[in-house]
Amino acid sequence: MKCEYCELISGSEKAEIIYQDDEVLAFVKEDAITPGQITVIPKEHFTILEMIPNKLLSKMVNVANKLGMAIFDTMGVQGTNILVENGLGAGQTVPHFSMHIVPRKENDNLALHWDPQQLMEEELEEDFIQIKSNAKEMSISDQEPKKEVTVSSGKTEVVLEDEGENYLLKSLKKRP
Amino acid sequence: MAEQQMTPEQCKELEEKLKKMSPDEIAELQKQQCIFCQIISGKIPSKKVYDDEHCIVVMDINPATRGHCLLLPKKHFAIMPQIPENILDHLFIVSKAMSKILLKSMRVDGTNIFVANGAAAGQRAPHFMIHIIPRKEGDKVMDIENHLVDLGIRQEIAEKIENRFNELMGIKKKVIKQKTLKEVEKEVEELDSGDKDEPEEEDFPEAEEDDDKDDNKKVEQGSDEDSDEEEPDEDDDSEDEKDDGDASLDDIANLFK
Repeated sequence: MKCEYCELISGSEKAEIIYQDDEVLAFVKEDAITPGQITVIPKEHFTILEMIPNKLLSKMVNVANKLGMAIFDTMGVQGTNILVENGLGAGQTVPHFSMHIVPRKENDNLALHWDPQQLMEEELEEDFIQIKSNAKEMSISDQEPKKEVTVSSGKTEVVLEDEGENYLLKSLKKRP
Repeated sequence: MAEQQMTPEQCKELEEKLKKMSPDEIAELQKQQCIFCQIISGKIPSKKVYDDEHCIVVMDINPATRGHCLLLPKKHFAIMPQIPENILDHLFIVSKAMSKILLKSMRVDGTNIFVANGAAAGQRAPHFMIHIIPRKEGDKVMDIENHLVDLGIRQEIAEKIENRFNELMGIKKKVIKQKTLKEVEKEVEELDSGDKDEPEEEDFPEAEEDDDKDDNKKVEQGSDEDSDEEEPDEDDDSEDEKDDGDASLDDIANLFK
């Protein structure tokens, strides 16, 4: 499958590059939410956030943060957004992980907002219990969860989590 | 969350007060005034799903979608540039792990990681936070439209931001001046007429004559070229070498041999 960003990294597609090193590349995307938007991508092809090693993520965040400051200092804007569209459902259009830095001005009417929902207390509680119980097993290191999370049904948590990722990948590959 | 508007008199009074305060006192005042600091200290109850040394993750009570979580650094920072690098790294690593938890817990097709720096960017409270929002296609959250940006504008943006970014990253400014054909031709003429400025290429034959030091010199030349590519070029000789990739400049450089 052709990847737009990989072609850009290889140089076969031209781009306005602001920064690059061995691992990351920052450039001005051809199509953007608003002019001045900068996109940071890893040079290695990773589809979604969950696949990015922590060290690489830290580097991307550092570059994104400094880009945010540079945008603020040079573009005459009043704010910045950092946006990750992770997965097809989240608006990701290229199957290569990216982080966008978006310059913002008062009343620019960008759709980077949402209508807050009024949830029933029971709904909130239900989601809370579900998320909290899963978050208990949360590991922030890159290593796969250890064997101790084996589940009695014979299926392990590791397998379950892998399914989650694969599902996301599949949904991205379904794109025309 | 709703923000309280202050009258001009109150603003002035506050400003006067702030002027007399030490940085520690100001930090303490911010903490007292900040709803999210009170959530972190437990004064305001919340649905906390994660807690560690540097941050907590709580459920947003007015979520964009069900499962919307907020990651808050424990220390009070207003915006991202204020956060020390090691803490910021940690916050995003936790966001990554939280995203994975939400994909599983809410059975969604994606997540948005979203940060707003400044009120114009949609920031509603003066405490930095990372939104982690479960997403499904057609949920109408951040219904973003992309627009094509003209090449000229893109180039201008890249140029503007690049210099400041390099300063912030501590990268030495890269000045790679592309010479026009006319400039190069003029130089060639100058070189032909005067023997004073011998181009480096002419050192090669000399080096080859010297059998003993032949290998060493070649190595030196090689490393010189390498460093020239990375550093701003001051002298004309090395600039010609640097432009190896450009076919037309290559041809002109070959005239010397």
